[in-house]
Amino acid sequence: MHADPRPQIPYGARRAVDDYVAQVREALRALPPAQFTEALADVRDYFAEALPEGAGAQDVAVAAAALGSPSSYASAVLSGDPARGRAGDIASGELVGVPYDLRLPTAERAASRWWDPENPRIFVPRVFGLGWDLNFGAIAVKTGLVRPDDEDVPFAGVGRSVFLKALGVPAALAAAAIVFALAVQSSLPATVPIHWAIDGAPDMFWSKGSALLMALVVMVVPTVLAGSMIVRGRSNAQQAVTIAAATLFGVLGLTQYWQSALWGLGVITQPWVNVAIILAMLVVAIALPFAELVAFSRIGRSAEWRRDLGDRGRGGRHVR
Amino acid sequence: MASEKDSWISQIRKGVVDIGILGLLSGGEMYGSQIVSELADNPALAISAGTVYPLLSRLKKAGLVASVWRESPVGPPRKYYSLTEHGVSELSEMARAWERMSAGIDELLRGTTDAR
Repeated sequence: MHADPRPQIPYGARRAVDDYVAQVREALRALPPAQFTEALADVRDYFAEALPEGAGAQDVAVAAAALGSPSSYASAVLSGDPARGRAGDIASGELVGVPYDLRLPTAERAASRWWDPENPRIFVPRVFGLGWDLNFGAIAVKTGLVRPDDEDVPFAGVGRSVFLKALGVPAALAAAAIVFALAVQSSLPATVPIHWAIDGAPDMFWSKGSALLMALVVMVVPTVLAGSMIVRGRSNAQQAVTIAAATLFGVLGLTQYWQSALWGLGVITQPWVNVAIILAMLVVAIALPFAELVAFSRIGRSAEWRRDLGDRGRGGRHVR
Repeated sequence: MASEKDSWISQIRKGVVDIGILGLLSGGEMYGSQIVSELADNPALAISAGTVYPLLSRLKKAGLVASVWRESPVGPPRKYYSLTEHGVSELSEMARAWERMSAGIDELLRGTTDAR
Protein backbone atom coordinates (compact mmCIF):
# COMPACT_ATOMS: atom_id res chain seq x y z
CA MET A 1 0.00 0.00 0.00
CA HIS A 2 2.77 2.41 0.82
CA ALA A 3 4.89 3.16 -2.23
CA ASP A 4 8.49 3.81 -1.26
CA PRO A 5 8.61 7.58 -1.19
CA ARG A 6 12.35 7.76 -1.79
CA PRO A 7 13.83 8.23 -5.27
CA GLN A 8 14.89 4.88 -6.58
CA ILE A 9 18.48 3.86 -6.05
CA PRO A 10 19.65 0.75 -7.95
CA TYR A 11 19.25 -2.34 -5.80
CA GLY A 12 22.91 -3.34 -5.80
CA ALA A 13 23.94 0.12 -4.65
CA ARG A 14 21.52 0.54 -1.78
CA ARG A 15 23.67 -0.72 1.07
CA ALA A 16 26.62 1.45 0.06
CA VAL A 17 24.38 4.52 -0.27
CA ASP A 18 22.70 3.78 3.06
CA ASP A 19 26.15 3.59 4.67
CA TYR A 20 27.13 6.94 3.26
CA VAL A 21 23.82 8.53 4.28
CA ALA A 22 24.07 7.07 7.79
CA GLN A 23 27.47 8.68 8.28
CA VAL A 24 26.26 12.02 6.97
CA ARG A 25 23.17 11.77 9.20
CA GLU A 26 25.34 11.26 12.30
CA ALA A 27 27.39 14.32 11.51
CA LEU A 28 24.33 16.49 10.79
CA ARG A 29 22.34 15.76 13.94
CA ALA A 30 22.72 19.36 15.09
CA LEU A 31 20.78 20.78 12.15
CA PRO A 32 17.20 22.03 12.58
CA PRO A 33 14.75 19.31 11.48
CA ALA A 34 13.69 20.82 8.15
CA GLN A 35 17.26 21.37 6.97
CA PHE A 36 18.32 18.00 8.34
CA THR A 37 15.69 16.16 6.33
CA GLU A 38 16.38 18.21 3.24
CA ALA A 39 20.14 17.68 3.45
CA LEU A 40 19.68 13.93 3.61
CA ALA A 41 17.12 14.02 0.82
CA ASP A 42 19.64 15.96 -1.31
CA VAL A 43 22.26 13.27 -0.76
CA ARG A 44 19.92 10.44 -1.68
CA ASP A 45 18.62 12.37 -4.68
CA TYR A 46 22.19 12.99 -5.82
CA PHE A 47 22.92 9.26 -5.80
CA ALA A 48 19.62 8.39 -7.42
CA GLU A 49 20.46 10.72 -10.30
CA ALA A 50 24.17 9.90 -10.52
CA LEU A 51 23.96 6.13 -10.42
CA PRO A 52 23.17 4.23 -13.62
CA GLU A 53 20.82 1.23 -13.75
CA GLY A 54 22.39 -1.84 -12.19
CA ALA A 55 25.01 0.18 -10.33
CA GLY A 56 26.86 -1.50 -7.49
CA ALA A 57 29.03 -0.50 -4.54
CA GLN A 58 31.95 0.43 -6.83
CA ASP A 59 29.80 2.94 -8.68
CA VAL A 60 28.64 4.41 -5.39
CA ALA A 61 32.28 5.00 -4.41
CA VAL A 62 32.88 6.78 -7.71
CA ALA A 63 29.75 8.92 -7.30
CA ALA A 64 30.60 9.64 -3.67
CA ALA A 65 33.97 11.02 -4.73
CA ALA A 66 32.22 14.10 -6.11
CA LEU A 67 30.61 14.78 -2.72
CA GLY A 68 33.72 14.03 -0.72
CA SER A 69 33.86 11.87 2.38
CA PRO A 70 30.66 11.85 4.50
CA SER A 71 32.31 14.02 7.16
CA SER A 72 33.68 16.58 4.71
CA TYR A 73 30.31 16.73 2.95
CA ALA A 74 28.59 17.17 6.31
CA SER A 75 30.90 20.02 7.32
CA ALA A 76 30.23 21.65 3.97
CA VAL A 77 26.50 21.51 4.76
CA LEU A 78 27.00 22.84 8.29
CA SER A 79 29.11 25.74 7.05
CA GLY A 80 26.28 26.71 4.71
CA ASP A 81 27.94 25.63 1.49
CA PRO A 82 26.20 22.32 0.83
CA ALA A 83 26.92 22.04 -2.86
CA ARG A 84 30.67 22.46 -2.58
CA GLY A 85 31.22 18.84 -3.48
CA ARG A 86 29.09 19.08 -6.60
CA ALA A 87 30.96 20.29 -9.62
CA GLY A 88 30.40 23.98 -10.31
CA ASP A 89 27.34 24.52 -8.12
CA ILE A 90 27.21 27.32 -5.57
CA ALA A 91 25.51 27.92 -2.29
CA SER A 92 22.15 29.16 -1.09
CA GLY A 93 21.37 31.81 1.47
CA GLU A 94 19.87 35.26 1.83
CA LEU A 95 20.52 38.52 0.03
CA VAL A 96 19.23 41.58 1.90
CA GLY A 97 16.55 39.44 3.49
CA VAL A 98 15.50 37.82 0.22
CA PRO A 99 16.28 34.11 0.01
CA TYR A 100 18.09 32.66 -2.98
CA ASP A 101 19.14 29.20 -4.07
CA LEU A 102 21.49 28.64 -6.96
CA ARG A 103 21.99 24.92 -6.43
CA LEU A 104 20.84 22.77 -9.31
CA PRO A 105 17.10 22.42 -8.77
CA THR A 106 15.93 18.92 -7.92
CA ALA A 107 12.40 17.58 -8.01
CA GLU A 108 12.87 16.38 -4.44
CA ARG A 109 13.63 19.89 -3.23
CA ALA A 110 10.66 21.24 -5.16
CA ALA A 111 8.44 18.59 -3.60
CA SER A 112 9.59 19.39 -0.07
CA ARG A 113 9.00 23.13 -0.55
CA TRP A 114 5.83 23.31 -2.65
CA TRP A 115 3.90 20.79 -0.55
CA ASP A 116 4.91 21.13 3.10
CA PRO A 117 1.73 21.15 5.19
CA GLU A 118 3.73 20.97 8.42
CA ASN A 119 5.26 24.35 7.65
CA PRO A 120 2.75 27.16 8.30
CA ARG A 121 4.60 29.58 6.00
CA ILE A 122 2.83 30.15 2.69
CA PHE A 123 5.90 31.80 1.16
CA VAL A 124 9.02 29.64 1.18
CA PRO A 125 12.47 30.23 -0.34
CA ARG A 126 12.38 29.72 -4.08
CA VAL A 127 13.60 26.32 -5.24
CA PHE A 128 15.80 27.96 -7.84
CA GLY A 129 16.64 31.63 -8.09
CA LEU A 130 15.88 34.67 -5.98
CA GLY A 131 12.69 35.18 -4.04
CA TRP A 132 9.84 33.04 -2.80
CA ASP A 133 7.73 30.13 -4.00
CA LEU A 134 4.28 29.10 -2.83
CA ASN A 135 3.89 26.37 -0.23
CA PHE A 136 0.57 24.90 -1.41
CA GLY A 137 0.56 22.67 1.66
CA ALA A 138 0.38 25.69 3.96
CA ILE A 139 -2.45 27.17 1.91
CA ALA A 140 -4.31 23.85 2.14
CA VAL A 141 -3.93 23.82 5.93
CA LYS A 142 -4.95 27.47 6.34
CA THR A 143 -8.08 26.91 4.26
CA GLY A 144 -8.94 23.89 6.39
CA LEU A 145 -8.77 21.43 3.49
CA VAL A 146 -5.90 19.47 4.93
CA ARG A 147 -4.38 18.93 8.36
CA PRO A 148 -0.62 19.23 8.85
CA ASP A 149 -0.26 15.55 9.74
CA ASP A 150 -2.85 13.97 7.46
CA GLU A 151 -0.12 11.96 5.77
CA ASP A 152 2.95 10.41 7.41
CA VAL A 153 4.84 11.02 4.17
CA PRO A 154 3.27 13.27 1.51
CA PHE A 155 1.46 11.28 -1.19
CA ALA A 156 3.11 8.00 -0.15
CA GLY A 157 -0.21 6.15 -0.28
CA VAL A 158 -1.14 7.36 -3.75
CA GLY A 159 -1.02 4.69 -6.40
CA ARG A 160 0.80 4.94 -9.71
CA SER A 161 -2.43 4.73 -11.68
CA VAL A 162 -3.66 7.90 -9.99
CA PHE A 163 -0.59 9.79 -11.12
CA LEU A 164 -0.88 8.41 -14.64
CA LYS A 165 -4.49 9.58 -14.81
CA ALA A 166 -3.59 12.97 -13.34
CA LEU A 167 -0.94 13.35 -16.03
CA GLY A 168 -3.91 13.40 -18.36
CA VAL A 169 -4.69 16.95 -17.24
CA PRO A 170 -1.55 18.67 -18.57
CA ALA A 171 -1.59 16.27 -21.51
CA ALA A 172 -5.17 17.29 -22.33
CA LEU A 173 -4.23 20.97 -22.10
CA ALA A 174 -1.37 20.38 -24.55
CA ALA A 175 -3.67 18.41 -26.85
CA ALA A 176 -6.23 21.21 -26.73
CA ALA A 177 -3.55 23.67 -27.80
CA ILE A 178 -2.53 21.43 -30.70
CA VAL A 179 -6.12 20.92 -31.86
CA PHE A 180 -6.79 24.63 -31.64
CA ALA A 181 -3.59 25.37 -33.53
CA LEU A 182 -4.52 22.94 -36.31
CA ALA A 183 -7.80 24.77 -36.64
CA VAL A 184 -6.59 28.36 -36.68
CA GLN A 185 -2.86 28.62 -37.28
CA SER A 186 -3.14 29.01 -41.04
CA SER A 187 -5.75 31.74 -40.65
CA LEU A 188 -3.59 33.85 -38.37
CA PRO A 189 -1.74 36.96 -39.57
CA ALA A 190 2.03 36.73 -39.90
CA THR A 191 2.61 38.22 -36.45
CA VAL A 192 0.54 37.93 -33.30
CA PRO A 193 0.82 39.62 -29.88
CA ILE A 194 2.41 37.51 -27.20
CA HIS A 195 2.52 40.01 -24.39
CA TRP A 196 0.14 42.64 -23.13
CA ALA A 197 0.86 45.72 -21.00
CA ILE A 198 -0.90 46.46 -17.75
CA ASP A 199 -3.69 48.31 -19.55
CA GLY A 200 -4.39 45.31 -21.75
CA ALA A 201 -2.87 46.69 -24.94
CA PRO A 202 -0.44 44.36 -26.73
CA ASP A 203 3.19 45.43 -26.51
CA MET A 204 5.17 42.54 -28.02
CA PHE A 205 4.61 40.72 -31.30
CA TRP A 206 6.14 37.49 -32.56
CA SER A 207 5.72 35.52 -35.74
CA LYS A 208 2.80 33.14 -35.44
CA GLY A 209 5.12 30.18 -35.82
CA SER A 210 7.25 31.30 -32.90
CA ALA A 211 4.21 31.97 -30.76
CA LEU A 212 2.93 28.46 -31.37
CA LEU A 213 6.34 26.93 -30.79
CA MET A 214 6.76 28.76 -27.50
CA ALA A 215 3.35 27.65 -26.27
CA LEU A 216 4.08 24.04 -27.20
CA VAL A 217 7.47 24.06 -25.50
CA VAL A 218 6.01 25.61 -22.35
CA MET A 219 3.29 22.96 -22.25
CA VAL A 220 4.98 19.83 -23.53
CA VAL A 221 8.34 19.94 -21.75
CA PRO A 222 6.98 20.01 -18.19
CA THR A 223 4.43 17.31 -19.10
CA VAL A 224 7.15 15.06 -20.48
CA LEU A 225 9.23 15.74 -17.38
CA ALA A 226 6.33 14.77 -15.13
CA GLY A 227 5.75 11.66 -17.22
CA SER A 228 9.40 10.68 -16.87
CA MET A 229 9.12 10.98 -13.09
CA ILE A 230 6.30 8.45 -13.13
CA VAL A 231 7.94 6.11 -15.61
CA ARG A 232 11.29 6.17 -13.79
CA GLY A 233 9.53 5.48 -10.52
CA ARG A 234 10.72 8.62 -8.74
CA SER A 235 9.25 9.39 -5.32
CA ASN A 236 5.51 10.02 -5.09
CA ALA A 237 6.07 13.58 -3.91
CA GLN A 238 8.19 14.27 -6.99
CA GLN A 239 5.54 12.78 -9.25
CA ALA A 240 2.84 14.85 -7.60
CA VAL A 241 4.57 18.24 -7.78
CA THR A 242 5.84 17.77 -11.33
CA ILE A 243 2.30 16.92 -12.45
CA ALA A 244 1.04 20.03 -10.63
CA ALA A 245 3.77 22.16 -12.21
CA ALA A 246 3.02 20.73 -15.66
CA THR A 247 -0.64 21.61 -15.11
CA LEU A 248 0.29 25.16 -14.17
CA PHE A 249 2.44 25.56 -17.29
CA GLY A 250 -0.29 23.90 -19.33
CA VAL A 251 -2.81 26.54 -18.29
CA LEU A 252 -0.34 29.35 -18.96
CA GLY A 253 0.74 28.00 -22.34
CA LEU A 254 -2.78 27.24 -23.57
CA THR A 255 -4.12 30.62 -22.51
CA GLN A 256 -1.11 32.38 -24.02
CA TYR A 257 -1.56 30.80 -27.42
CA TRP A 258 -5.35 31.04 -27.36
CA GLN A 259 -5.18 34.72 -26.50
CA SER A 260 -2.61 35.47 -29.17
CA ALA A 261 -4.64 33.61 -31.77
CA LEU A 262 -7.96 35.24 -30.87
CA TRP A 263 -6.36 38.65 -30.95
CA GLY A 264 -4.68 37.83 -34.24
CA LEU A 265 -8.01 36.71 -35.70
CA GLY A 266 -9.66 39.90 -34.56
CA VAL A 267 -12.05 38.06 -32.23
CA ILE A 268 -10.66 39.95 -29.23
CA THR A 269 -10.00 43.62 -29.74
CA GLN A 270 -10.76 45.25 -26.41
CA PRO A 271 -7.79 45.59 -24.03
CA TRP A 272 -9.98 45.09 -20.96
CA VAL A 273 -10.95 41.65 -22.25
CA ASN A 274 -7.28 40.71 -22.21
CA VAL A 275 -6.85 41.96 -18.67
CA ALA A 276 -9.84 39.88 -17.62
CA ILE A 277 -8.51 36.81 -19.41
CA ILE A 278 -5.05 37.16 -17.88
CA LEU A 279 -6.48 37.54 -14.38
CA ALA A 280 -8.74 34.52 -14.85
CA MET A 281 -5.79 32.56 -16.22
CA LEU A 282 -3.64 33.35 -13.19
CA VAL A 283 -6.40 32.21 -10.86
CA VAL A 284 -6.90 28.95 -12.75
CA ALA A 285 -3.15 28.40 -13.11
CA ILE A 286 -2.83 28.40 -9.32
CA ALA A 287 -6.16 26.84 -8.41
CA LEU A 288 -5.95 23.80 -10.67
CA PRO A 289 -2.55 22.51 -9.44
CA PHE A 290 -3.67 23.30 -5.90
CA ALA A 291 -6.77 21.17 -6.38
CA GLU A 292 -4.64 18.33 -7.76
CA LEU A 293 -2.29 18.39 -4.77
CA VAL A 294 -5.18 18.48 -2.29
CA ALA A 295 -6.79 15.58 -4.15
CA PHE A 296 -3.56 13.57 -3.97
CA SER A 297 -3.33 14.35 -0.26
CA ARG A 298 -6.90 13.14 0.30
CA ILE A 299 -6.14 9.92 -1.55
CA GLY A 300 -3.01 9.41 0.56
CA ARG A 301 -4.99 10.06 3.71
CA SER A 302 -7.65 7.56 2.65
CA ALA A 303 -4.92 4.97 2.18
CA GLU A 304 -3.76 5.62 5.74
CA TRP A 305 -7.35 5.36 6.99
CA ARG A 306 -7.69 1.97 5.29
CA ARG A 307 -4.41 0.89 6.85
CA ASP A 308 -5.37 1.89 10.41
CA LEU A 309 -9.15 1.75 10.46
CA GLY A 310 -9.96 -1.06 8.09
CA ASP A 311 -12.24 -0.54 5.14
CA ARG A 312 -13.96 2.69 6.11
CA GLY A 313 -12.09 5.01 3.81
CA ARG A 314 -14.37 4.60 0.83
CA GLY A 315 -16.19 7.93 0.69
CA GLY A 316 -17.40 7.51 4.27
CA ARG A 317 -19.50 9.87 6.35
CA HIS A 318 -16.76 12.38 6.91
CA VAL A 319 -15.30 14.18 3.93
CA ARG A 320 -12.74 16.14 5.91
CA MET B 1 18.58 44.36 25.74
CA ALA B 2 15.04 43.03 25.40
CA SER B 3 15.82 41.32 22.12
CA GLU B 4 18.90 39.61 23.58
CA LYS B 5 16.81 38.21 26.39
CA ASP B 6 14.11 37.11 23.95
CA SER B 7 16.71 35.34 21.85
CA TRP B 8 18.16 33.52 24.87
CA ILE B 9 14.69 32.41 25.90
CA SER B 10 13.87 31.19 22.42
CA GLN B 11 17.12 29.22 22.39
CA ILE B 12 16.08 27.55 25.63
CA ARG B 13 12.62 26.87 24.25
CA LYS B 14 14.07 25.18 21.18
CA GLY B 15 15.97 22.86 23.45
CA VAL B 16 13.02 21.82 25.59
CA VAL B 17 10.29 21.24 23.01
CA ASP B 18 11.36 17.60 22.57
CA ILE B 19 11.11 16.78 26.26
CA GLY B 20 7.90 18.83 26.44
CA ILE B 21 6.15 16.71 23.82
CA LEU B 22 7.51 13.40 25.14
CA GLY B 23 6.46 14.40 28.66
CA LEU B 24 2.99 15.36 27.47
CA LEU B 25 2.55 12.02 25.69
CA SER B 26 3.68 10.07 28.74
CA GLY B 27 0.23 10.83 30.12
CA GLY B 28 -1.42 8.92 27.27
CA GLU B 29 -1.99 9.19 23.54
CA MET B 30 -3.13 12.50 22.08
CA TYR B 31 -4.02 13.82 18.65
CA GLY B 32 -2.13 16.59 16.86
CA SER B 33 -4.22 19.66 17.57
CA GLN B 34 -4.71 18.48 21.14
CA ILE B 35 -0.93 18.43 21.61
CA VAL B 36 -0.66 21.90 20.07
CA SER B 37 -3.33 23.42 22.30
CA GLU B 38 -1.95 21.83 25.49
CA LEU B 39 1.49 23.25 24.74
CA ALA B 40 0.10 26.61 23.60
CA ASP B 41 -1.93 26.80 26.84
CA ASN B 42 1.36 27.12 28.66
CA PRO B 43 2.34 30.73 27.88
CA ALA B 44 5.85 30.23 29.19
CA LEU B 45 6.50 27.65 26.49
CA ALA B 46 4.85 29.49 23.56
CA ILE B 47 5.14 26.49 21.25
CA SER B 48 3.22 26.81 18.00
CA ALA B 49 1.76 24.35 15.51
CA GLY B 50 4.59 25.18 13.11
CA THR B 51 7.05 23.77 15.67
CA VAL B 52 5.01 20.83 16.90
CA TYR B 53 4.17 19.04 13.67
CA PRO B 54 7.69 18.91 12.19
CA LEU B 55 8.94 17.80 15.59
CA LEU B 56 6.36 15.02 15.80
CA SER B 57 7.59 13.84 12.39
CA ARG B 58 11.16 13.90 13.59
CA LEU B 59 10.28 12.00 16.77
CA LYS B 60 8.47 9.41 14.66
CA LYS B 61 11.46 9.03 12.36
CA ALA B 62 13.67 8.64 15.43
CA GLY B 63 11.38 5.87 16.70
CA LEU B 64 10.43 7.67 19.93
CA VAL B 65 6.82 8.31 18.97
CA ALA B 66 4.30 6.34 16.92
CA SER B 67 1.02 7.44 15.37
CA VAL B 68 -2.19 5.73 14.36
CA TRP B 69 -5.54 6.91 13.02
CA ARG B 70 -8.56 6.33 15.26
CA GLU B 71 -12.25 6.93 14.75
CA SER B 72 -13.50 9.93 16.64
CA PRO B 73 -16.95 10.20 18.27
CA VAL B 74 -17.26 13.87 17.37
CA GLY B 75 -16.14 14.04 13.76
CA PRO B 76 -13.62 12.72 11.24
CA PRO B 77 -10.90 10.29 12.30
CA ARG B 78 -7.92 11.68 14.16
CA LYS B 79 -4.26 10.74 14.13
CA TYR B 80 -3.20 9.84 17.66
CA TYR B 81 0.39 9.99 18.88
CA SER B 82 1.91 7.87 21.64
CA LEU B 83 5.30 7.07 23.09
CA THR B 84 7.07 3.93 21.93
CA GLU B 85 9.07 1.83 24.38
CA HIS B 86 12.16 3.56 23.12
CA GLY B 87 10.43 6.89 23.69
CA VAL B 88 9.53 5.99 27.26
CA SER B 89 13.14 5.14 28.15
CA GLU B 90 14.49 8.16 26.28
CA LEU B 91 12.06 10.38 28.20
CA SER B 92 13.15 9.08 31.60
CA GLU B 93 16.79 9.66 30.68
CA MET B 94 15.97 13.18 29.55
CA ALA B 95 13.93 13.81 32.69
CA ARG B 96 16.83 12.74 34.88
CA ALA B 97 19.21 14.97 32.99
CA TRP B 98 16.71 17.84 33.28
CA GLU B 99 16.44 17.34 37.06
CA ARG B 100 20.17 17.42 37.49
CA MET B 101 20.62 20.45 35.29
CA SER B 102 17.81 22.54 36.76
CA ALA B 103 18.95 21.64 40.31
CA GLY B 104 22.41 22.88 39.39
CA ILE B 105 21.09 26.12 37.90
CA ASP B 106 18.73 26.69 40.84
CA GLU B 107 21.70 26.45 43.18
CA LEU B 108 23.64 29.00 41.20
CA LEU B 109 20.63 31.34 41.22
CA ARG B 110 20.25 30.95 44.99
CA GLY B 111 23.90 31.93 45.24
CA THR B 112 23.12 35.04 43.20
CA THR B 113 20.17 36.16 45.41
CA ASP B 114 22.17 35.44 48.62
CA ALA B 115 25.02 37.58 47.37
CA ARG B 116 22.61 40.51 46.99
